[in-house]
Amino acid sequence: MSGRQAVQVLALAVVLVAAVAFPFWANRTQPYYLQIAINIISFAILALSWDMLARTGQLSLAHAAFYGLGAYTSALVTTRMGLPIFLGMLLGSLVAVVVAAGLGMLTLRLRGIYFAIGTLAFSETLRVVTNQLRFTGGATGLVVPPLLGGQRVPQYLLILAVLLLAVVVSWMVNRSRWHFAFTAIRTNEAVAGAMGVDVVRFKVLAFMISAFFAGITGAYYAHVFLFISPIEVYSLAVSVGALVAPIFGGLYTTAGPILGAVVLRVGEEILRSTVQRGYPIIYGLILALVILYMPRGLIGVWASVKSGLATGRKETREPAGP
Amino acid sequence: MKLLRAITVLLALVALVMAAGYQPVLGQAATIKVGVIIPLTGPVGVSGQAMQKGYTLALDEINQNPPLGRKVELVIEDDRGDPPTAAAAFLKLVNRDRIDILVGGLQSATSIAVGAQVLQRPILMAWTGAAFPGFETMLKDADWFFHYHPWQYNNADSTWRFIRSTGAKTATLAVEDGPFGSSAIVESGAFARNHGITITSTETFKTGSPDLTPLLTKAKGANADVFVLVGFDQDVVPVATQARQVGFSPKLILAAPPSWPVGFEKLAAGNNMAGMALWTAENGHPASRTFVRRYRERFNEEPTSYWAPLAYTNLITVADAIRRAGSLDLAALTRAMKATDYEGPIGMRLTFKRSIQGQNQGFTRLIAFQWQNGKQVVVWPQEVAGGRLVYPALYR
Amino acid sequence: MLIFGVLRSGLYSLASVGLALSVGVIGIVNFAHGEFLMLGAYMGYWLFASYGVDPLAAIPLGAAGIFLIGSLTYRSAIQRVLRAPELNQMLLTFGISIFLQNLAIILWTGDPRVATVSYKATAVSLGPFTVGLPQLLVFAVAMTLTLSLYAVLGRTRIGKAMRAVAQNRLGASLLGIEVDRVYLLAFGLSTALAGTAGLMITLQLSVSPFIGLLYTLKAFAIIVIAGLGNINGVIYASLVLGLSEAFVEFYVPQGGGWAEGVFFLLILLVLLVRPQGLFK
Repeated sequence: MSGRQAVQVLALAVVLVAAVAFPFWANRTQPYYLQIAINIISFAILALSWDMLARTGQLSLAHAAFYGLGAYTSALVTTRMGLPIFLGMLLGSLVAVVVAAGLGMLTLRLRGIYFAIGTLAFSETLRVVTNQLRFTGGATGLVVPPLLGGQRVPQYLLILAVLLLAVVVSWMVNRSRWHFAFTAIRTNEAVAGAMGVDVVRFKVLAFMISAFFAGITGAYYAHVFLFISPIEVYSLAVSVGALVAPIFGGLYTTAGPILGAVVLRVGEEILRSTVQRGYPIIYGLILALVILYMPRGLIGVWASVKSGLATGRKETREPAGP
Repeated sequence: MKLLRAITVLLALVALVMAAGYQPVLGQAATIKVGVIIPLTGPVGVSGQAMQKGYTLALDEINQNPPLGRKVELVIEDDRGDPPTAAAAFLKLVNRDRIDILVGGLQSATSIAVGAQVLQRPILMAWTGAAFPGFETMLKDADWFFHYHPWQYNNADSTWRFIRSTGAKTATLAVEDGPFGSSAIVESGAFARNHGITITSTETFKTGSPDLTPLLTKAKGANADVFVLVGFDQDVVPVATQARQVGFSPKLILAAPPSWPVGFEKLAAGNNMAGMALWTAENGHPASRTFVRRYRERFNEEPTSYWAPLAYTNLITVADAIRRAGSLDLAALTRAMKATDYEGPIGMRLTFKRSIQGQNQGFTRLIAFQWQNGKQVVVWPQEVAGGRLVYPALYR
Repeated sequence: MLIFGVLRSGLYSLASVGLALSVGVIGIVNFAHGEFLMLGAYMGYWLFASYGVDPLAAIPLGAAGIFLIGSLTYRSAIQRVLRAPELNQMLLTFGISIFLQNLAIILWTGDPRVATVSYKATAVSLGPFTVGLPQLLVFAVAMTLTLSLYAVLGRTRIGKAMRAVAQNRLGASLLGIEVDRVYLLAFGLSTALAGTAGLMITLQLSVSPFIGLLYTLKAFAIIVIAGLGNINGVIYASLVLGLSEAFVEFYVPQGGGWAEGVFFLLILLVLLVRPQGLFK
């Protein structure tokens, strides 16, 4: 292990210890920060899971579908069948995974914008069905029992653990031969197939991994905020939020989506409490400006600053598009 | 350049002086901090903004005679209609702003997210919003929870009571397919039966649909006395115009949107349509008239929804309770709130009584009005009516 | 029911033909399409409320106004992402959509407004049927504009240039067509058509900052059914959507709630079974 690596490992360990110790301090003095942290972490998991799918070139607008499936499955099995909440959350994410496998198989042929619209349509169909059915509580929604007795500290630790799992999975995907497969599929599916990459397997697998995390986050949402309704959990805003953060932070990386989620949520919170009414305008404007002037997101800016320092010239490489 | 710098320095000095002058005022007596959680942005931001105006009017009035000799300060948080944001907003209010009392509230989802937090850190919660009975169940034992808005079953009860008063026997129900409309389906059956009305058919539609002719044609076929629409402001225009176009003229079209579109009074096809609401700007009650006049003067626009006077009532009654309690102690405040007896712009007496599950329920009744030549004439209940219902109405 | 479905499809085709143009010629999927429609609707409302201009008479002015705003949007934003990944294009238009909607809320508040055009509730008889006069007028305007767009694309030089660019951008520029000008024109026209659809909504219904999304989604459905970029299929696709909605609403109990599901299911099925669209 080189000196630099040692520093990195040490830094990572410090961050981890701080993240685990944080709620014990915050709960007593600053429960507000604890709540914000929970909101940010949930958002970060959603963003990272969307990014893992996007690495295979599949631009999903169906994240709300998996989020909603997770939330509804867990809510229904815990309220109607009295199952324990942990089991409910697990079932919720499993249902999301199974549905994702099916959807992934069906949408294999679709590319780019076709895929996006198709997944959007799927998600909206689920919303309408949940809205119309009686046993889901219909449009009026469902009241859901609290996770871990409604205590924020263990709730925080649980969602932190899920985030860590997502980070490890994402990191492994990006460090293993999967990375090659994902990138090859994204860049050119036909060539990837010709090179012997099992395109179907990897695309569907990416879908399932992604849905697992979206589903568990949805189930978590249900049991932390205690009420779900179709217009909220199947909202287009969930799907859009999931893709805004990775693009803002930097696509196809592990750090990018998380960074994007943190910066966006914190920024939003600051804007919300200072500007009050007009802030969505600023939000829209920032979104447009980032796309126009920072197409590789925050990570991209960081990388070009670093390489600019290292080599003395600016890098102008375009992101590897789908 | 020099001039510019000089001006800057001057401005900075003025600012400093003003800041210095401001300081002692703050130092006199600590303010009473009231936290407000309402949606100012997002799909229901309009209603939240109306509430903000109601609070502003109330605050002006309260601070002319500050309770306990301390000025009231509002700390307003926008919940964006998003439960996680609402939960965080509450914790910020309690934790950072150290509020003494919590008011506000509009949607059910955000109310539940906030309610769960208040259960863990009890504080006086004078809440305007959420008609969803699940929220009532959640806070059923909370003595410190005061709910102003009627519950869904109160709304349904008023609606069917009014319909019975018209002498109608049958009704067709058309509801939007979101939480607002669906709650009406859940509640309506039993209440309609209790009041002796048969619901001949129930239809759903997507709010904002440009074309409701299929639905109205079906309703025409059902041929009931009253057509009840549970939808939003954007849906009343197509109902009014397209009902005429398909030749659908029941004895009464009754709509219950939270507010009506600007300019609806000029729509000839809307004449004689009836509405259910907690309040209307045409309400003849003196306190309501005063409120409307002051609202116009202050904001240079008409109050279009009941959320403004409801918020006003909310803050005024809280300030009144503080005066009577003589302190900010939770038990004293709760006792004072329970003794509330107030008749303000809503035009109905406000007292807090037990509801089916909750401890302290405020308003339980809606009023009915009818559009008559561009005015919302209150026609029910008798004691507040400003005119007679035209029934059967003339829709042609 | 047939006739209601057909009439409704007129508004749908007008609301979506612009999006088809933008997708077909420029290759930009504009999530802010409905917001331009909303701006057009407000333009119609203010012209009516302040000067008493009938929304039908306001078409030239309204379309020109929205054309300007659209062109400005193209020059300041869209133009820069033409070569960027689709994802970035999509997100940029999302940003524009959020921006425009909230701008409208601040400028005109979120309250819906009604332009009380005198013939709003007037009905006319068409043989055995009675239909709304505004609906009929909207249908006529929509068909006229959509068909004249087809004529422009098919017959005139600029139309041929657009089609050439749509098919092969490089080839077109080799032929001496100024691709950038064509794009600007196509995007402006696309938004102007949406704006005109907005004026038609003012004529029939009420106006609020939130009306955009519904039409963006409907427009998506229609252009998918038509086949992305297939401008000529829009009329047929609108008919399919309008008719299927009207039938579900009428014949299925509580059909209004399901109608939306039908339309999304339709998109999904078309994409899965015939991704090139039904009419291509």
